[in-house]
Amino acid sequence: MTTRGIDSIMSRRRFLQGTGALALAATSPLLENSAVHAEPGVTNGARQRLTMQEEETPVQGGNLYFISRQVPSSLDANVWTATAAAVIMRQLYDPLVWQPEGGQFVPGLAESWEISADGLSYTFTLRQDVTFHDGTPLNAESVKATYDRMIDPATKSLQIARLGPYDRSEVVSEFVVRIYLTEPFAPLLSSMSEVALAPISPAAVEALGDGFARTPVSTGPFKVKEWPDETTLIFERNPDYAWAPEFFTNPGPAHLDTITYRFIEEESTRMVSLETGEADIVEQLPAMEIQTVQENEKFQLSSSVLPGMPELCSINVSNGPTQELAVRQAMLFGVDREALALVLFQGGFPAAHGPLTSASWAYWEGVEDMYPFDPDKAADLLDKAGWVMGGDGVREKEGQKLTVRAVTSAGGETQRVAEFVQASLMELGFDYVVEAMAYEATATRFAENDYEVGRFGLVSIDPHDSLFAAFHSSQIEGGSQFNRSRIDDSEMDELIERAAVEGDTEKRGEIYRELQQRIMEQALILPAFERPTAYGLQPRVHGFADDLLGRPYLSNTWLGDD
Amino acid sequence: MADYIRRRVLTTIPVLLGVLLAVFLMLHLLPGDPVRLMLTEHRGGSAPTSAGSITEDMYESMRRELGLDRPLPIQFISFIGGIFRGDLGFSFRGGEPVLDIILRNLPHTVRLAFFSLGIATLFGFVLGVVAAIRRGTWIDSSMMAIAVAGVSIPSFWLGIMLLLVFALKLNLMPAIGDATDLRAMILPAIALGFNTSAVVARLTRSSLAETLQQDYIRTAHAKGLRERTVIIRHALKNAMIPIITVVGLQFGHLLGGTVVIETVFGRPGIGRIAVNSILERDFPVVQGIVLVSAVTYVLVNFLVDLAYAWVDPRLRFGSR
Repeated sequence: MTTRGIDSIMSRRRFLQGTGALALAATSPLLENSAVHAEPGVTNGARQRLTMQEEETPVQGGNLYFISRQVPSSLDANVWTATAAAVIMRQLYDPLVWQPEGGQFVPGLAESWEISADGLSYTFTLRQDVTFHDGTPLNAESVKATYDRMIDPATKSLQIARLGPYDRSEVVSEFVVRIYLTEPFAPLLSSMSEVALAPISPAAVEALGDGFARTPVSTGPFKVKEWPDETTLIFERNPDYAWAPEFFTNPGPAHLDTITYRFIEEESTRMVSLETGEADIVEQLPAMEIQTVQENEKFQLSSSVLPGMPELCSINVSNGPTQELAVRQAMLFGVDREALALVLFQGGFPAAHGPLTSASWAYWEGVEDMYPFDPDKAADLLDKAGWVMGGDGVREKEGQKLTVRAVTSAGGETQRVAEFVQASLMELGFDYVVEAMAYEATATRFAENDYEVGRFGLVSIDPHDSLFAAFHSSQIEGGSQFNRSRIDDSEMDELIERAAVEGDTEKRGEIYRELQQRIMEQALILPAFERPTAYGLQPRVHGFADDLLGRPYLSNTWLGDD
Repeated sequence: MADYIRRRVLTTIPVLLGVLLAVFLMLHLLPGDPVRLMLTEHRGGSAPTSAGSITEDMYESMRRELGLDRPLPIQFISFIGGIFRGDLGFSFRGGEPVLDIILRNLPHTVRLAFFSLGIATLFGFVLGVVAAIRRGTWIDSSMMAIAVAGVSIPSFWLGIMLLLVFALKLNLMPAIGDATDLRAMILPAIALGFNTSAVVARLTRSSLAETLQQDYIRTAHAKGLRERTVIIRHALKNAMIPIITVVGLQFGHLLGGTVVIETVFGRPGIGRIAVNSILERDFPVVQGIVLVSAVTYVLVNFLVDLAYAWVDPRLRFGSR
């Protein structure tokens, strides 16, 4: 299979066509899956490319200009890992285990690990040759100190949820550390692969105090050189780096001398910086520009669908007409999701069909056939449920109009999705009201249960993180308040909880399949589209690859000729 | 004079307190719980990445650590108390002292605002003088057309247009550049100051035109002085008085304008920090920036008043 002749809708393949040195990598069968929803358990091909032999010898040195959208509030990954910040932190931190594919783990700072039969303790055997940026060695003591610091309330860590039911750590020997949980927690290894649980130098925490957040000391291929102001952050190569995971093309210190991050919130300015050549890599191209960059031979595009939940509309089961299953199902049959993706993004973003994206390892294809676009069926469902068409084109039942209020963030794709759904459902006799406002205001409307449809989407590697947030009954009023369907279903809670403690990935996958089916049978969500990453690159950028969440591993990257 | 200064300083204290109270209340009335927003890492528009399974205990514990569980009056008093100790609190996000954040970013904003004010004043002044001297001609009309455009064009639009033309099409200027590089300041300064230069131009024109109608100008002409001398020595000096006031007030306006311009051009500064902190409900940072801006505004007004008294002797002596 080659890229030639394939009428691709996903841009990753286009990107590969543009890079001669890496064109071979496009033969990966994985690449196709991100676009066409193939077998579950397979994700996009970013990592595959890393194992390929490069035909050119990497050029050493140079500075890479990386345009990011949002300045991190802190670089302390154990405390703070906002979506945009993690892209940057990936260069500073190494995890105990890496997750090159969803649900597959390979050694990182830990050479090996063992999970007790009851799933309550994890024993990690560390590499013995690793030093932090300050020269102190990584050992069991430092791993323990990292997690002890995280769970201390005074640290104000936003990442403790990743540790799950963490109890304590124990130093077994100099390089063996054991982590105890109060109950089994299957997503733990996946969490471990994130920057949030990467070990840090306890000596540096001691020495730097509050300053640690701006110059963290960890083990990654880069370290902070300078952070002069809110628009510029400069990293330099860690010359001692020799513990790259096997799937990196570059086992040693990074090719680049430095990376200069520039933070630009304004989308159009980011695009201009790519076009003027000032930027080497631009993160998160605007949806409407992806097509432009894709068609422009001057640039490369790297794009892959993110795992987790797609962009969707949560349907509130506790308010108004959407309390009725028939109404919710009619909404799903009444919206042409393929057309939505095509109209809004010219096919640049794929349509979504269920609660997980096709890039999630637990994705179940069955969702694709559950609600084909069928406006007649939708009308029929509404008729049978007693919603009769009124003279004004709006259905009613017992004097009540079929009014559905959709609360969404103003502007951008999310509002356009709401408007597309509105246009589709108006034809079926819905009085579909789009209420677009600032995100913070939507959060209040959701908290006060003042909506019938709410916009949602959540990126996560492990399905538990998103499905728990969106469908567990504890998340209606508490925690994240992300259960915007407001579904309080003990059987669904039980499925979510059971999957979280199931140690066998195959069996977990089965539970998630059941869960996806149940969510769609109850029509708790109206899926919209799958969100991809979108990096614009100059042709001089070589060896670009990113992780499951679209965070580049820049130690493999080098700058060549245009 | 010393008495005057003392009185002015004392009257600013209730003004500042009022501003701080208003901002404090506004922040707490705004929809959006800062802790919930932090834990869920949500921001408008983009899909956030999950931070794991968040429980209500984590939420409560974070509220406690940030002191948000205390009654509002206590929170306000502790904020005001901190100001007197030179402590503006810590950012909710990242935990950095607010004062450090402001001190790191303020110089960038002030530099841009001054630079912009300089360009705008010079440009506006020249435009206004030429228009006033050539009043009624096509030169006058076209100058004033530019001024009307300047007042009506929003700075974010102008900023993007300047970027597209000078950075993208003509490649004369950097699109992002280095924050401290003077070249990278030119486009932002023009986008920021265009409005101000229009205001200055219109005012200069009307003020100078009015002065030129005065009896003493006719007298100067009658004495046989040359046109240039009349305008520079006699007319302009008197026409300057209202211009100084407006230029001073415009400085505050420019500081506010950096909120937009810093974001468009991706420059460092407190305007940009303010926008982000409001979006993220980082209360201590917003309060700190408002405090600094209010103090600056009051200070500039005060200096304008002093300058006014200095330029116009009638005010200095007449105010008694």
